[in-house]
Amino acid sequence: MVSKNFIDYAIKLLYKDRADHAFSFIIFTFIVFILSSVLFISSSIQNDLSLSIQNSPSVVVEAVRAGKKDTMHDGYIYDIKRINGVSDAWGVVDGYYYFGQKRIWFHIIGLDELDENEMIIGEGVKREMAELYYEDVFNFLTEHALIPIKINKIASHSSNIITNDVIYLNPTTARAVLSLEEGEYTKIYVDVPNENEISQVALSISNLYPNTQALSMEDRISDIRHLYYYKGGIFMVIYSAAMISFFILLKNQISLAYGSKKREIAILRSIGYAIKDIIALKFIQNFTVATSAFLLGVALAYIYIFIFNAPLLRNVFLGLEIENSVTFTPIVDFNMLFLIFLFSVIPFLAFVIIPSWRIAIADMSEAVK
Amino acid sequence: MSVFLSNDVIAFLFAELIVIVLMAISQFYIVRILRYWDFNATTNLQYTLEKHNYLVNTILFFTIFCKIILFVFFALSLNKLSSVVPGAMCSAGVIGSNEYGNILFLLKLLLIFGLGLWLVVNYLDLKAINFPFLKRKYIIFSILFCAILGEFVLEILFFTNIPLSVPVFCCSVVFQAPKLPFGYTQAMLAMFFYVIFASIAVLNFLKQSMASFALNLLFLFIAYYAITYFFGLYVYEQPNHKCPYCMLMGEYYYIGYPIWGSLFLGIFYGITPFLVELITGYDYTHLLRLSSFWLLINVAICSFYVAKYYFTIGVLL
Repeated sequence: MVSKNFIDYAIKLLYKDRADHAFSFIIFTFIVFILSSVLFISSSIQNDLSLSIQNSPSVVVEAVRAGKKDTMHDGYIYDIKRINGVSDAWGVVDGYYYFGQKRIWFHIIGLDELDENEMIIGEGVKREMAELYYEDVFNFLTEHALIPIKINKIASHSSNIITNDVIYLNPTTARAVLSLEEGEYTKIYVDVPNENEISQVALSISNLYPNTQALSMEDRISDIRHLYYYKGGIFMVIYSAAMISFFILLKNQISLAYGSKKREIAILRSIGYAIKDIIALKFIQNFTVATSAFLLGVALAYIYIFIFNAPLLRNVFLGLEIENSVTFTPIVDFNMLFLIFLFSVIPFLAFVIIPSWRIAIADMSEAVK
Repeated sequence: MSVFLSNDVIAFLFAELIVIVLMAISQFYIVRILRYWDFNATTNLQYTLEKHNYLVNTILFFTIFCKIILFVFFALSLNKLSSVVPGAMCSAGVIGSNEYGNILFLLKLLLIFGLGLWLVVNYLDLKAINFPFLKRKYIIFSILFCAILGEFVLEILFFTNIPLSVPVFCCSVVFQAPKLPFGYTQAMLAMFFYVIFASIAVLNFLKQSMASFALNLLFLFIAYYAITYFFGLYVYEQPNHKCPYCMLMGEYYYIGYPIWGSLFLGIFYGITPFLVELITGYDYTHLLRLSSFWLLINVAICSFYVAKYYFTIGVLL
């Protein structure tokens, strides 16, 4: 229908009038850039979190009393181990320590391999402690005593998104720091070798102990997905409003730019171009502008997020409480590019149709006079 | 909480809304064209209407193209949502999670068929010099537009009613074997599938558009059940996994897209010639060749999985 020469001509004309399209190109690139940056960050974080959950135990059990997290004892573990399909269950110490001087929370996790007077800390924790000159030893304050612990090593950088605010301690020390009794656990981890039985086991545990919440791996992954869907979604709603105003601007700008080209279009029509040819011509030009801006915007976002690590924007997603030093894993899939395309290029083209048509039908005898 | 804030849903509804606004603009002009159009008149009004006709054509061309892209996107986002909706392992769970899902999906398919038919009529209309089918095609479009408005309402109802706290049924529950209609067995379904395909191929060769039309409708129905309850088992290589959606996922190399895509293209080209003849009176039987071609691809893919399973394992499921 549309010949190669016609497309060639449309592109040549576009190059000649590049100043007219520069405005929409630049703004549109910026819009796509912001949109893809946000989506890239959120999908990268989601991916890291889900991966880390896949390496964790199948079911996590937590007890609740009066709406607050409660502790559990060995009796729970004994009963859970007897459920069909469970290969192992063990209690862990896991809680939060309030670091009053900086007004932040550290996440404390018990780890058997550690000695009673040493700890492993995340990078964020290290930075916070160093600011108050805790370089080698940190003093935990509890209601009974002051517990000095040697700062042993820093958690590996790759597990950053999880371990940034974490302190690993020997379980006995962790109990002392969190003021727990011997034999008390805050969480029970359950191992279920057969993946298909996980949700069934989780259900049995809540039936056995109605005061517990048993979260299967699937539940936790979908929680994370949902949280980031939510964050991304609020952004997208605000963003759509901004985009609509841009598109209205674009529509006016295009009518203006084409208005000054009336003569040119009149000449085209007088040498035999039909109205639909002119619309096609304008459509090809705008499609070129929109797709090239789309590709450039996505590429810029990729560089900004995965090479420069998203300065400023990261705080929206990671929170400022302990400033994060996370690096993002590049995750870009076809689905997301399709989403960005749908959300940006299609409305762009939709807003161009009417101005193109209005120009194409303009009275040509007026214009060539 | 609802899935309303997920990125895919927002982007989908936003694009859908823009398409609908554009269609509404053209619908406004369509009503005027339908009322005052007279090709032989030389009035100012007729001249304006002809200009508007260009706009309407451009918009409809663009929006139908968008609707087809949006349909693919809808299928993709349902797959993505299945990781958020508890209990859903593929789109079957998401679609079945409330009463609107299945109606919506059916309506979407019918609309794709309808819009495709409209494109053919439009093409014929533009090819002729004096717009002979203009009124008929715009009446068809007005009906389609009403259906699209209904579809949008259904979409909103569907997305707002997806439960996120109570688990939904997954495909292994939804597609249990006793649900087969008319007491069909799997062997009968497979047999019907091949017999009907063979008759369609013969009828297509003989260019019998009306008989082809009827058999194609029957084939759509039979093929859906045959693929879900018989051929799907060989795709999943499991005797109990019956689901039309899981094959769309990466674990099965996205084979669902070619399978369902070729089936729908085949059916579409099979039923269009008769309808076009009905609307315009033109003979359009050359499309029947395309129908045979796409259905053949569909049958080939389905049979390939059965053959592959038989040759590697040595038994049939």
